[in-house]
Amino acid sequence: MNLRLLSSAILFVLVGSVAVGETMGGRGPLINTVNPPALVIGKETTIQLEGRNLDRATHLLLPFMAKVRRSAGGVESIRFVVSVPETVESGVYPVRVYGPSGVSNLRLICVGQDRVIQTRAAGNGRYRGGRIDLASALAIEWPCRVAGGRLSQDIDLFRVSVRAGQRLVFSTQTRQLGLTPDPVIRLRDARGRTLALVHDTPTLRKDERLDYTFKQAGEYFVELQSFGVAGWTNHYVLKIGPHEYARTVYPLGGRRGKLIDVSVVGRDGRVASRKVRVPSDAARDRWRMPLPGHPGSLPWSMASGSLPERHEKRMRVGGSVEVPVADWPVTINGRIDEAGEEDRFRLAVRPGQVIRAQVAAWYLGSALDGLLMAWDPVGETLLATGDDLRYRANVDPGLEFTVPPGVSSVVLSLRDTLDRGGIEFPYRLTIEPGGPDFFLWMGRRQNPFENSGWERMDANDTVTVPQGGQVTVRITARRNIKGRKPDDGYYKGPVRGFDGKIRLVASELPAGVTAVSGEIAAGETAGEITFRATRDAVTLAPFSVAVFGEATRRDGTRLRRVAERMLFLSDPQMTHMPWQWRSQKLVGVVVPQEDRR
Amino acid sequence: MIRVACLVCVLAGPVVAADPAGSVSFTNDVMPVLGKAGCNSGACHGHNSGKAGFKLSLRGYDLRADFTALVDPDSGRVEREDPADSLILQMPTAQLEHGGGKRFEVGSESYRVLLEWIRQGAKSDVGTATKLERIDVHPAVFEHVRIPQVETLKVTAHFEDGRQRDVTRLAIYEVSTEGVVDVDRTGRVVSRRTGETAVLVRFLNKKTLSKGLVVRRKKRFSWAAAPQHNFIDRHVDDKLKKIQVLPSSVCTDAEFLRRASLDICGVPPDPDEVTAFLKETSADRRARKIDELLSREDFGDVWAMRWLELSGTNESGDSARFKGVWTLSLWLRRAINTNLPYDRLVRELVAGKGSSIHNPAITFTVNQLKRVETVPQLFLGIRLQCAECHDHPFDVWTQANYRSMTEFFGQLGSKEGPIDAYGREIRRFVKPESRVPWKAKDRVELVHLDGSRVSVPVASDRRDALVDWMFGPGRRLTARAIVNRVWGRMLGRGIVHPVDDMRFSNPPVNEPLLAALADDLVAHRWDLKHLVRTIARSRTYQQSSIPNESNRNEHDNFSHAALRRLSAEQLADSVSRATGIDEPYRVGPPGLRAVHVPYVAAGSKLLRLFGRPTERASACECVRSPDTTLPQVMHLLNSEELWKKIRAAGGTVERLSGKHAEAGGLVTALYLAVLSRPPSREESETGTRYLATSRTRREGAEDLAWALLNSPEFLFNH
Repeated sequence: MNLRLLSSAILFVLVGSVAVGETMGGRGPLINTVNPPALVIGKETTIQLEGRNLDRATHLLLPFMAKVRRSAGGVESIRFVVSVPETVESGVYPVRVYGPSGVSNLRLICVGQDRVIQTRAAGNGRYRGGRIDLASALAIEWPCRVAGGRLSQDIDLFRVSVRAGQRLVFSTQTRQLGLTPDPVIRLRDARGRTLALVHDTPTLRKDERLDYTFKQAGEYFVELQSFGVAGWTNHYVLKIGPHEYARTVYPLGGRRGKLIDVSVVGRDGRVASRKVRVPSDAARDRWRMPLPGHPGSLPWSMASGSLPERHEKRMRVGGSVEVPVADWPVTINGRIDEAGEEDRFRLAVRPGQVIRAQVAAWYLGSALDGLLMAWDPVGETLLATGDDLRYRANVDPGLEFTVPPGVSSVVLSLRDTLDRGGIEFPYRLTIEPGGPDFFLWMGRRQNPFENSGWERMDANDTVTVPQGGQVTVRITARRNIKGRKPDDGYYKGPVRGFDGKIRLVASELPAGVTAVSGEIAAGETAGEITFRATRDAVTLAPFSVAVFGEATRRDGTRLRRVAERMLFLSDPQMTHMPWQWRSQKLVGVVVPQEDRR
Repeated sequence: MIRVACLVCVLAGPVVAADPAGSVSFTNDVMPVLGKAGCNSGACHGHNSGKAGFKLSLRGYDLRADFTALVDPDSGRVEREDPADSLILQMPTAQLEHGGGKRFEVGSESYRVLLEWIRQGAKSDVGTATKLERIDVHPAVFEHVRIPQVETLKVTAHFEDGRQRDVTRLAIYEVSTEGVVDVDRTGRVVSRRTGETAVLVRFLNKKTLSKGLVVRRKKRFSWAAAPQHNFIDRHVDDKLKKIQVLPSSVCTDAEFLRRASLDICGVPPDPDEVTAFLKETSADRRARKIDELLSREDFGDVWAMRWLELSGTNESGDSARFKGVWTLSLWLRRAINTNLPYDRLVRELVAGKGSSIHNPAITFTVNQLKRVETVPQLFLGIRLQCAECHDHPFDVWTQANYRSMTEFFGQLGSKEGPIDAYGREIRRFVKPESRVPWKAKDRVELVHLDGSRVSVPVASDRRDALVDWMFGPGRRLTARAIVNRVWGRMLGRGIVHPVDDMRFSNPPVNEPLLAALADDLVAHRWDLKHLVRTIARSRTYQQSSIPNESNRNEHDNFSHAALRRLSAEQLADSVSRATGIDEPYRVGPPGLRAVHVPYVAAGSKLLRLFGRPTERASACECVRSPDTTLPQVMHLLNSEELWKKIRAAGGTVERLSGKHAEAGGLVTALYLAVLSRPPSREESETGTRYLATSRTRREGAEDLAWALLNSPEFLFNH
């Protein structure tokens, strides 16, 4: 080793306690799979986690209180016995592990009432000469959740017995759990004839639900097939039982801290109303609403905002009739009730005003593929079209435009791109002043085509701080400044163009942990924020912390954006769409200094 | 030079121009000369890049461009000051070196037309010349009963002002079927062999046909009436009588069952089915079997695969991906098996709405092929491709037709929905710009292929108007295209052949039959199962493939069944069924039939060798060759995969060897398993002897199975 290299090595050892957040995955634990990805309420379940650096992962991190025991462990595999108390709501929850080497990436696990049947790793069904071999089916008793493994080229086949008139729901939980399979459910009779087949159930985003009432008693066969043929995460959960489920909810969110009336529409169209308080957490704009009366559904993904809210339904005059919106900024909750319907909102505006309108629907479980347009009704001019009609990721449209001279009112119109409509087409439309803006990412930039194959184990939303030491976390800005090469050419939405300095600050820090504010210099896209732990900071006590980017526009208005991370858990090639989980807080842990060697 | 030219003119007499006043028209006189001389053909100056710096539009479809090229003052092609020095006179007469050789003589009529046009100032009358309305040829139909026999065609041009002109010497002649007749530049037709042909006659942008039949009349021919099962046989017999050919007799029940099973379900019958059918004695057993075969899901599998392939749908990243291919395949199977009427099927495929995931029919047009070309080719039998760049040389379609067709798909938008490595969702919608309120009342005028016009709202989906026409005013074309395609698939040859090339210059061999089938389909509300049933029930379909003395050399008029090599999927599935061992495919669960694997990348050498396309890059039926090749034969003879299947534990040979203690029974069982028929007495005896002399009976059975699998009877649908 020459002198220069030697000095570099010494320097590295000296600053060894300073780590960059996104590289933590290299030394900290990483989870690849959780099997079964299901826990039973009120019961004890053993789960096996596979991944990297798991030998020092001593704890399981769940967002609810549970009795957890580590039963076995190695570098690439670890087991925990989890006992979920009766008070926990059914749903999908993030799970991580942590220990002296840090906190891991996130995986998802479903918690429910039904027992879990684990099947063997290989498929148990088969075809012969093009015909299904019913003798190869595995008999199961419902209600249950089948936790299957490695659904790939093969099929899995299950036999169920029913009485006449029995209704059963067969539903998969794969993509909702961040797993690879893109399932197809086929129901066959005792002669192998197809009774029903589902793929791409609307609003479930690649998960399936087959609701079937059997006219005759007897044995029937459920065949499961998948299109996601790659990767290790091709496990699945198949839920079978006479479950009630929710088709849709309205509205899709509310103002932070407010009590809202939510209508939950069941499978048969019956509406159940309930009052729900919207979480007041300023760092999050999504929350999950449990659906206790609909055990066949996972908790509904809802939005939270800070603007006043209005309900389009309550002020509607009729189909395709313009509704005046006197006061804005506002978030309007509405629904495209019928095929071909267009909801129109007339705004009083001033020339030169910059208006931003953004729809939230698809990620909130609506079937709407919105087409948002802004036009000048007097001059008959189209001002902006709020959907890039080619870009795959712009499922929810947004637009921003400057009111032209001489225009005193504009109409915003929203319709389904494919002219569909109905109860499953609710939306939220936020109208607010626009202007230069930015997004913040935790860790490196999230560009669909630049991520490597390991983002399934994306630990960029974690921070591990050594006791008495510090760690630096990279924060990336997407600015897409006009006239420059876009830093994300695939984003076509309205949030863009801010070129000034962004100050990075953290909130909700636990005792013993401090943050040194950093910044992203004007025009730059990367910056850092440093977290420090005192020598007496409590170790191995997980915490979560939000990082905000604060900035001031040239006109003096202030911006405050939270750093987030969209997690693509299923497949690296799925980074185009859709993400399965959005982290808006870093999950951290302080670790003993000696364990950061 | 001037003196020579004048002398030529004096000697040759006055120019015959279309115009009675004697003025030579660029459009109606000069262009026919250039066309007749071949100047604007694809091999000469009509080539895409021209020849020797001189480019004309192919076959004169662009008169303005041609005029500009001719009179280019720097080119010397036209010398108004000294007409005879013009290159367009000196080159084709070989007075100067000309790569295309001598095209006409100095002083010929062609020479005089060009010379006079230049003398008169070489003016353009493009757009103002008297419009040519049509051309007629006489005779429009000719029949030669001797070889050789001579016919002289006469071509008359009809102009819009009522004038007629004999353009026989200026017209261009081409024959559709080589070798039946010869035709020279003057329209003189000489028959060379028996058969049918059509002479395509072109003058300017108009075309017409003279259809010819050459048949040696037999003095002692007498028609032996064969049973007629339905109207098909009547029309076929009418034609056979005309050409003095007797149909073959009806095939055996075993041949019928195998043929119908392969054609309708894509696989041969299993042995139990053969045995049961051969025991039946009822008169309607074949009709009932056809109905039974049509009720099987296999019917949809077979036709779904065909449509999928022709649509160009594949699993590549830019196309539908695995899920798109699979969902479309599933949709097609269901549509075909539930007998969705053809008009609705086509409407869904051509004008499908919404998302490809929830309406997989949309995926039909999500491929690398051009909809404006594939839709006419698949559903109308019209090949518009040529007309993208120039007017079709052998058909009536022009660039204007191509542009009009494009308009039907023009305002359609599409975007991708959520996507992953295995599935790509496509959403189709009308573009938003045409949907703002102040445009709601605007309308756009579209032109159909027959020239009719339709006005549709600017915000409507124009594809609906196209499908309305296809099953309304254009239904004759649509019906003829599909019945011809189905007929071709079931009889090995279309009434128009190739089946998807129903061009003007490629007339049907039996027009009444094609028309009757089309009318019947329309009368039965586009019921495709009815069409297949009608064809399969006909005597014509059920004829033996063994020819008689009379029809030995007749292959076009359905006088006997055609021998057809099994398609790749039929062969793979037949081998699997015969051996009892499934072919492994790269994608999809094991145990599927070849026809159930809708992807291009099936990963089967056997499928690839026997013609399953390795890419779906064309809507042409010709992507699959029916020919037998040496590698195919060598594969069957030497394939280790085939040999392993024959010898496999749990396979047919092992199973039958254990089941049949007596050699004769084993031979019979093997014949039924492989050839779908019992052996003849001689075959049974030979087989039994072979088993007796084999080292072990199992080994002998394996050899016998291998020999049967390599027999032409197994490889062909007969």
